[in-house]
Amino acid sequence: MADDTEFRFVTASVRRAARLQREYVDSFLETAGSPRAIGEQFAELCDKIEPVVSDYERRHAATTDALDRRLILNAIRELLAWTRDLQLRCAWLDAAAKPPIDLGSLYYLRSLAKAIVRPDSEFTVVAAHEGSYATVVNPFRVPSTPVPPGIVLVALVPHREIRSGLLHPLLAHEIGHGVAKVHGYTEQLRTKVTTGRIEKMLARGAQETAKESKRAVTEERAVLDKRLGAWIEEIFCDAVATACLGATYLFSFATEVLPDDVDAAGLKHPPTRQRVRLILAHLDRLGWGSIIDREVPGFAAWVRGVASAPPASQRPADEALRKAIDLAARRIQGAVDKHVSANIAKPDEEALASVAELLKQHVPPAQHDDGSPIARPMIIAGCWLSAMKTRSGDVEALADAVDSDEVGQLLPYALELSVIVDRWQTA
Amino acid sequence: MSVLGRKGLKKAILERPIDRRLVVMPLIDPKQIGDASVDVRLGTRFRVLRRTQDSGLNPQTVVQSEVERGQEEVVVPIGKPLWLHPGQFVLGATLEYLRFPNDLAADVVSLLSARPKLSMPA
Repeated sequence: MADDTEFRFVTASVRRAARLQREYVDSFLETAGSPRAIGEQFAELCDKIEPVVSDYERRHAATTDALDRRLILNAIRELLAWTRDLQLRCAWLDAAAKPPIDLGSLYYLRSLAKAIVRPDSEFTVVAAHEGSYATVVNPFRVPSTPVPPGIVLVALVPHREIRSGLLHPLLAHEIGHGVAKVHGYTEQLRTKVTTGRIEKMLARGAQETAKESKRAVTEERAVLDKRLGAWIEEIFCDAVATACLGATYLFSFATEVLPDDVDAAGLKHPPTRQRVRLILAHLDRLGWGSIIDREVPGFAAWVRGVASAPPASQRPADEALRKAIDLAARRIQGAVDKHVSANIAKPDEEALASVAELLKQHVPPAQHDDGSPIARPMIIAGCWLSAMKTRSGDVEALADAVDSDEVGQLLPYALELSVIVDRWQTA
Repeated sequence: MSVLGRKGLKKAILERPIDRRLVVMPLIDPKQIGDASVDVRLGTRFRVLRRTQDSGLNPQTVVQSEVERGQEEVVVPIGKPLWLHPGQFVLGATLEYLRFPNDLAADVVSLLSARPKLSMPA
């Protein structure tokens, strides 16, 4: 039969594409150093293709119905396209073997991922040509099969920013997504907060939205619940990054996000104004607020003004979500504080002063006078403060400070040296 | 002119203000300070020469990009080796960032006895 020939040809093509992907990952596993889990998960995914092809072959042979056979042929063609598209993800293996960002930042972020996601986490940074910062957790996981050992976190950094060491702290937020997903915080928090006032607020938001959209209230409510989960996760990740990095996160976040419309509510992201307000409140609690006010008063005044200004009026659904997030913020914060308690970066004025002094002398600020390594969050915060203060210290200095040549060179170097000192002294 | 001994070196390394300090960053182990020397280590950044199709460089007209075309910067992660093949030439930086105050100078001496098969002009 003609379609038998065609079917055999397509199945052979799927097997060939799977073999080629498998060969690529085999060579990665032979040569790569520490990041192995990403390769092992990719290899496992390639190996899952053969049983699917065999299953299609059996079903194709078992039926004589022309329509069924055509449907199976279409399905195997889709599998072929999907298998070939795995090629796009080979770049992630390349990035695991040869990271696009500096080693100092990478060492810090990898250690943070191990500390707060899980000790067997592997953190890979990929330079992405589209979009903004993003994260994928266990990207090659096959649903409903056991996950191979290790948690794979792939963070996407916009290609234009791979040399922007002062923006790499945004990746701590991306690691926060790993914490939320691996430990199930998003769903836990969403379920816990969707009671009482928040429940009523969401119900009203869904009703009002349904009047406008002409869709069923239950449908709108389902969308709202999904969006609430996404917004909770974003606030959770902001809190993780703020706890672990202190003022640094606000500087990096403001540089990347504040130039946009601060009242725009995204499908997955709360309005920036609300996020800034919650980040600032968190920083004040940790003791960073007074340092920002003192060291960069122009920036502090502006950003506090943004945070405290009333939000622009929003659509009913967005308004309901915004209010729900305000009510849920304390519970989200509590979950983060508990989870990252060992990694909270409280301000260390002595370390910040050392960093400032060393930077002034063009020395990578890696070590205290007593030989102990300067804590990585203090190195990054000190670099940010110095870069801001040597400019105007106002908010517009952010865009200039982030590209400071000197800090850009000394920060990754200092982070790397700090890790080396740490490892040497604890070995 | 005199040579700083161990005590003098320690004092110079902790001098304040920092602009008058002998900066050795990082100083991982106090044993690095010897009787009249400070041991430094091979760092993680290297420049490895590439084979190119260029006939050579004209020192009068050469630009930085031409020089860099003939070199590759290699950053070796902590714990990973850098393999050198027979006859291969690489430029390596010390792990330590060094800076001298106006009243100090130093000689860099390689510990050839520890690397008998390598030629290391300092």
